[in-house]
Amino acid sequence: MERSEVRGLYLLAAFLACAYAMPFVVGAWTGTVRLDERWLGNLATVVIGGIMQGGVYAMFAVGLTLIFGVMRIINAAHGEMVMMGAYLTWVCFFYLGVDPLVALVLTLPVAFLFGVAVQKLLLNAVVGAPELTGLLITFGLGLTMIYAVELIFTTDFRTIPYAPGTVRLTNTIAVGQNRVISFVMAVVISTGVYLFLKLNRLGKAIRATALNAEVAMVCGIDVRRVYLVTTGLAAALAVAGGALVSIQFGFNPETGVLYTLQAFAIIILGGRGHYLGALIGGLMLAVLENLVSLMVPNGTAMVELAAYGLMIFVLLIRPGGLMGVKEG
Amino acid sequence: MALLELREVAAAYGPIQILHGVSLHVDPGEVVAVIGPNGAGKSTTFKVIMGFITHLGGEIVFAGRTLVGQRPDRILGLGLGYVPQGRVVFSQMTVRENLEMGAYLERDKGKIRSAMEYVFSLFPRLGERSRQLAGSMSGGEQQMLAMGRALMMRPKMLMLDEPSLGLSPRLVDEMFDKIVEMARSGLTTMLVEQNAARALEISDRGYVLELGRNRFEGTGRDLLANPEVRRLYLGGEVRLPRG
Repeated sequence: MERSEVRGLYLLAAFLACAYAMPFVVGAWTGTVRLDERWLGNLATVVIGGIMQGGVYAMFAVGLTLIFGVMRIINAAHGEMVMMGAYLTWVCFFYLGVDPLVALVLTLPVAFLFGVAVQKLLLNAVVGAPELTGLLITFGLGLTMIYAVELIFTTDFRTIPYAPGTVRLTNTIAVGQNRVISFVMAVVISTGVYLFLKLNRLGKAIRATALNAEVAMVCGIDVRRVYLVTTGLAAALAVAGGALVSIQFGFNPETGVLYTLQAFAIIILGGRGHYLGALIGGLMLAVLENLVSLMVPNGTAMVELAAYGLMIFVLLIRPGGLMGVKEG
Repeated sequence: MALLELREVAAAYGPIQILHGVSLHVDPGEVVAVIGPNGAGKSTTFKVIMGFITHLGGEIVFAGRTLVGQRPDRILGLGLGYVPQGRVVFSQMTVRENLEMGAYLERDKGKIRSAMEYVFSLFPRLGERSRQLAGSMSGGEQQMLAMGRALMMRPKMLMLDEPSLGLSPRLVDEMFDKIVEMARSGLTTMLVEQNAARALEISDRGYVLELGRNRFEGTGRDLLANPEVRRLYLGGEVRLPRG
């Protein structure tokens, strides 16, 4: 490692320490921090809750990172695919009476095919074009999806009442059952995708194509087919993410925009195209958000401010993201 | 009959025509060098054979079949391997994974295993480092890995684009020794080289290209001895090959 790189890492560590200390300082200043058992229980609860939420966000952010890694396309419609997943789950739940987790058996193949169609009809045309072209075409796709869903379901907020109980870890630490279920599912799916990329022949071909498409072609890998599978997989991850957020939070057609931003922040933080980076980025972001919402008064705006502030500063210190390799 | 034959091949990179009529042939078991100044169309010749750039005209025949309009996976399947220029390995994958990707089209696990053993016997260093990330190896080792990867399909013929590029003099020697070793085991080889003198020394025959056309051709010895070739492309004194 070069010296400037080491210095960069120290700077990054110092910055991260400050970022995570910030909510505590503000909390102490405004008096929301009380060092009694109940408050410490709350603190543990938000940290655990943050990890669980982060796991779900990280899982669908991996879809964004896959498309970017393989095709250098920034999929601005990723959050809309998450939103689509929430609606698909909602339809299965209310019209077909299918349990949201069982519904994945139906929704994931649909999502995969949707991804394949998006690749064939839109993305194949812009692979290799300047990054802005891909960004704009997927932005258009996202808007189209928003208004198509709005046409069918209106802008009303929907919720799926599912596993409303809480899991008590100790007297003072309690987490919603739906959160625990979502987190476990996210871990299972992320692990599955990781193993697919690591061990499966096609999974390895996806990684190879991401590293060097021309050499992948020299090896006889059908790069077009890899593109189809990649986008199909990314759409399936987004829809799975949608299912897992739909049992925790309300949603309407415009919710997807927030998830796109979340996923962007996560993969920029973790390192574009980096699988493990997305997981770490997801956890870091959600934990920080939850700490801020616990201790800093006037929460929501501050939460977003902290999240994107973190992203910007990490980018300034380390342009490739936390796990990113130097580009160029 | 020639294993590979090009007749009057013309080709373009996007709007720019690079090849204006290249003809060459490689017989089974031969080592053939393609040399020439920058921009002569040496690497382009390989790329048009593999179908990576626009073919404008002429015939490309390998093992009795035309390669024009074929996809790279079909060409590999026919037994023509290609090692692109510049130590191109999958840097964030292990040595073993790189070799597995080389055998992507081979579904028979037993054949993959025996091909890997063959590559490890040819390049023992790759066997020692099979679990290491390819990007963490030295330049010479990466070039060996790129060659080993192309050998995983057990090709009839291998095309090497600048195998010695950017290697230290000691590694250049080692690289050429390996090429000779592979050729002696019966692998037909065609290589493009900046290091023209060394390439001609180990080659049965050679072609000199200039501005996308054939300029000279002959045996390695003849080209090395040709005063004009020496003056233009070999830059002065050259040892004659032994034997």
